[in-house]
Amino acid sequence: MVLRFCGIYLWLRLINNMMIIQFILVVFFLFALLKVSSRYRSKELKVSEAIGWVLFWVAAILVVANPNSTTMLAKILGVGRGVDAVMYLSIAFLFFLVFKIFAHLEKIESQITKLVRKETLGQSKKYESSTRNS
Amino acid sequence: MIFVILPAYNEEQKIGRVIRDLFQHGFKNIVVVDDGSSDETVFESKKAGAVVLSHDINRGQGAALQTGNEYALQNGAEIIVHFDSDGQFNVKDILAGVKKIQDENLDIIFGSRFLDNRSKIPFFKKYFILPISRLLNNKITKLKLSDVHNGFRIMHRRAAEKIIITQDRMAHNSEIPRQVYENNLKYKELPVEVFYFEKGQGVSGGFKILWDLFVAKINK
Repeated sequence: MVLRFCGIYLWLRLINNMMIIQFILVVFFLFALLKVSSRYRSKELKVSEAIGWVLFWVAAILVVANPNSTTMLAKILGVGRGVDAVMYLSIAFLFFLVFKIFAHLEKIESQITKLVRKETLGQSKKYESSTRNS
Repeated sequence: MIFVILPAYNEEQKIGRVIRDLFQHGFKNIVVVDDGSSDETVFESKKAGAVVLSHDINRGQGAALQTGNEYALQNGAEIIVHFDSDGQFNVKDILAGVKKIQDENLDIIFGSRFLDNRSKIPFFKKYFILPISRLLNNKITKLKLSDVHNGFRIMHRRAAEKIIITQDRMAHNSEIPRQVYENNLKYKELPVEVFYFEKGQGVSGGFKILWDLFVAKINK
């Protein structure tokens, strides 16, 4: 009972000290973590991918919960503020993701074409043999 | 055996006439690759007597041509002609081209609007769009051609076996010369007539082609 109250008290303090945006983001990232775990359990993700995503979202939560933690990163990268460093990295990461999705889409497109072609040529063969038999 | 490939997407108005014209000039193996048309292209083509291959869904002109090539090769084609299904080319040019490819033992012939003055190319296109496109295209394909993206092509079996069209949309017109260069094929140009009665690809089409080529490059 006491522990429970302590827990709630700590949460409230935490929330109280956060800006609303931080709270929303943390909830959102926790949700993303849940999603990763459910996708891993339904075998949509490989172990390595799941670990990668968990690390990514946990890092995101840590950064949002304590923005000052990025000052180090900013110093290493030579960028003025921690938030800026995170922004730059995020944009780079997004570009990378879009690029990956793009490449994947092209691959799917060309696979569809091959499938359609196979079907078309297969049908023409059937058509010919049936006309030959008749 | 000569196979004439007609890629067609919603060409019910014109394709019948093109096929009949080809038959009248003595071509026997006419293959329409219907690229998922929603109109009566298939019906009109069959009515005119062509073999019809149908893509279930629209995949683009490049995809249709590759399907046609594979069909023709499977059925023992010696010479494959890429022609347009909307009647913008002159069937008589095929006769001259086939003779040329056989006489000079060539691998592939590209049609060109610039080798004689039969084609009435619109002014802006002739003196502005095409020269710029040609410059870019020759750079990309490494082949010196007098025309750009002319869909008229005649290839020997040797060439059709080597050239594999992976550009499903319009960029195959650059991809093919590039593969001719890479495979060291013997090519020449042939003066052909182009009738202008509708819009071509336009400038935005040109940018789409560059984009497709760029994507293919980074995906390699």
